[in-house]
Amino acid sequence: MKCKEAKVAFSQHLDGRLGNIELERLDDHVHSCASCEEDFRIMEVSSRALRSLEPTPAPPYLAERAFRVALSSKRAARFSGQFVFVARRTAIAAALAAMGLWIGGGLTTGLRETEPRMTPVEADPVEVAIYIWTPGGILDD
Amino acid sequence: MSSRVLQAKVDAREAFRDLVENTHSRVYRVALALLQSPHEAEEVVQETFVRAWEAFHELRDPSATTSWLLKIAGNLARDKRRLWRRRSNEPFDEATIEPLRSLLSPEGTIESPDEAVLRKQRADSLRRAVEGLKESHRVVIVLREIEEMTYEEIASALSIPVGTVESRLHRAREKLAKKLRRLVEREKTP
Ligand SMILES: [Zn+2]
Repeated sequence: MKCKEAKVAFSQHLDGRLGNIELERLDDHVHSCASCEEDFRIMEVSSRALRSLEPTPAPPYLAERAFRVALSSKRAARFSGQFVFVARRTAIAAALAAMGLWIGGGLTTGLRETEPRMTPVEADPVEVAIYIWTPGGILDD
Repeated sequence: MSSRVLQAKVDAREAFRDLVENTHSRVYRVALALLQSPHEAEEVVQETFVRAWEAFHELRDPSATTSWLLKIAGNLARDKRRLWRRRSNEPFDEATIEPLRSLLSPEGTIESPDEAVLRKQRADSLRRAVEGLKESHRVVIVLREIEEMTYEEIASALSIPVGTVESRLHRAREKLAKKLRRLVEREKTP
């Protein structure tokens, strides 16, 4: 192992990303190269010192604020508005198709069945989607 | 409104709230590492989650969602940073170098009247040395060593392959070691 390769390997080692065989080769090099030995000592000490620092804490109010701003942002509202428009159109189309099927089903099954095949659903998936994507509601209720 | 519809609405918002709570500090740390400005980092967090809510229906896989968020935050922060650049070029005085000398001395800790004070001084000096590195090196060192991010998270935040994170980190560590060595070997000024 040469110095250049050893430096890459040592950095990987600091992050626990070096396999046993490579670690042995690195060890051999370090014991025979004073320059690398000193460099690695400094790298290790400084790395340990940096890691002993606490990760920067986010301000305590940030999560709640980011959540509220996201849900009430005008852009999200505009996006949602487009979604609702498309969804309503789809819902109307779906409703018409369902009625057609229901009537059609009723006609074809005639008197053989006492109940229509298609019963109205409690919550239309499209309607659910509209509510999910309408900002403001729950939070500001 | 039927109860099922209401429930779906509540569920989506609660899922989004969980996402914000679980990921906002990592998003913040990426933005802060790139911008070095708490105020601007907060703006980036805000904008990242506005975009996340817009795209929430597409974000299903939690692990992919985190890297998506970090990538967005990294891009937003880099866009902001293009406007200006800061690199610490303040000269190091003895008061800054001395804690580094004691940190890096092969004998370990030199006389320490107050261990906590010394640790703080060392950390401050070390931070300053890191801040003097060139931008690409500074950022990987901060994200990996201080903010404790994985290679994969750093790769997402910087929009670079994991292999590049690895090579950048080793070069950054080498530069930092050289810089520290130069500093502590400098003759003491009276
Ligand atoms: Zn060597």
